[in-house]
Amino acid sequence: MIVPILLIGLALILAYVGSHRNLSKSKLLFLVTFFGIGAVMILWPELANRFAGILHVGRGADLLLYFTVLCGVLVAANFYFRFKQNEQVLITIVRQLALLTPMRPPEDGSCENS
Amino acid sequence: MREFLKSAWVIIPAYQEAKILRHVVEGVLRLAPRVVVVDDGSADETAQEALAAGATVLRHVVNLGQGAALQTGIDYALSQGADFLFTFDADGQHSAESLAVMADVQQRTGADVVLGSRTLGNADGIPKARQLLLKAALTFTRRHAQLRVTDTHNGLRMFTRKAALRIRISQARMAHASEILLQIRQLGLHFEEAPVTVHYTDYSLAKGQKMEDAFRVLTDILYTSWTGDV
Repeated sequence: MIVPILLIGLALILAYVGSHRNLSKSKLLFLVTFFGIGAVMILWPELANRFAGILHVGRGADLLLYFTVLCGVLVAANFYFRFKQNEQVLITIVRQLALLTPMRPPEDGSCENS
Repeated sequence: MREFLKSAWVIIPAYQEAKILRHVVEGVLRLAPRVVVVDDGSADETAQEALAAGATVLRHVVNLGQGAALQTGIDYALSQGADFLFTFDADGQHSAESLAVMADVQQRTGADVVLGSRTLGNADGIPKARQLLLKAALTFTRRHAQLRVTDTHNGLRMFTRKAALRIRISQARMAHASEILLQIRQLGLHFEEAPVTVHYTDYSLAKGQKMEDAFRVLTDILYTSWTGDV
């Protein structure tokens, strides 16, 4: 009973992500691969054990854990790069605003923009 | 030397420094009348205190970091025709008299950049943990920038107009200190170090860099090295 629910869940998430964002080909490939491997592991769980044996990482559960951690790191790196790009845009805007509105101490002691 | 300082610009990046900034700015103004404070999105009265002390104030509407504030101040000073620019910390660690020492070194050597060094000068009241952190930062910076300096992450610097026009700080936060050294080497700028005194107080230590900031600096440097964004 759990297998069809998990597969439907995976398919729905993939369809939602794919339809609501303008994804590049590489990102779409990553998502399809990620969810595809997830579906394979659900349908044929013994495969995980066999791959784990080939890669010398013990059990199939361990292999899945390492794979998930790797995916998490890639996603975090992607967010970090995007954040750094947006930060540069923000810096440019904030700097221009600051340079356009310097405040100088007037002779009479009151403060105003110049 | 006093005449020389009268024509120079002093850039003070400040974040939440209302408590001490007026005292710092007034001290600098006694030697150098052209002071620009870059208020980096403070929520307190930093900008008002700087204005009341007699400085020109540029205000970042959000907090960007010391590196970004320095570049904003440098851009402004250059637009005002500055021939010599100093950077100076807002937390009261630096002595205004150090400006004269650095100016003297620049005038004697003709250097493009003069870097303040607490190793050549004094570091009053520096705790052991901070000493170790600075030592580690210095070792890393000397390897990364391949520049034989005796101090790093010291906010006291002096640039000629030529150097300020060529150096571009892209590191918004504290990694700018390593970035400046790296660019000095890459651009082949002539640099000298000047002995300066840094006074550590409870206030400046609370405001200063912590061990956890080192990880952030390292991440920023690695990102820049990897992407080549300079």
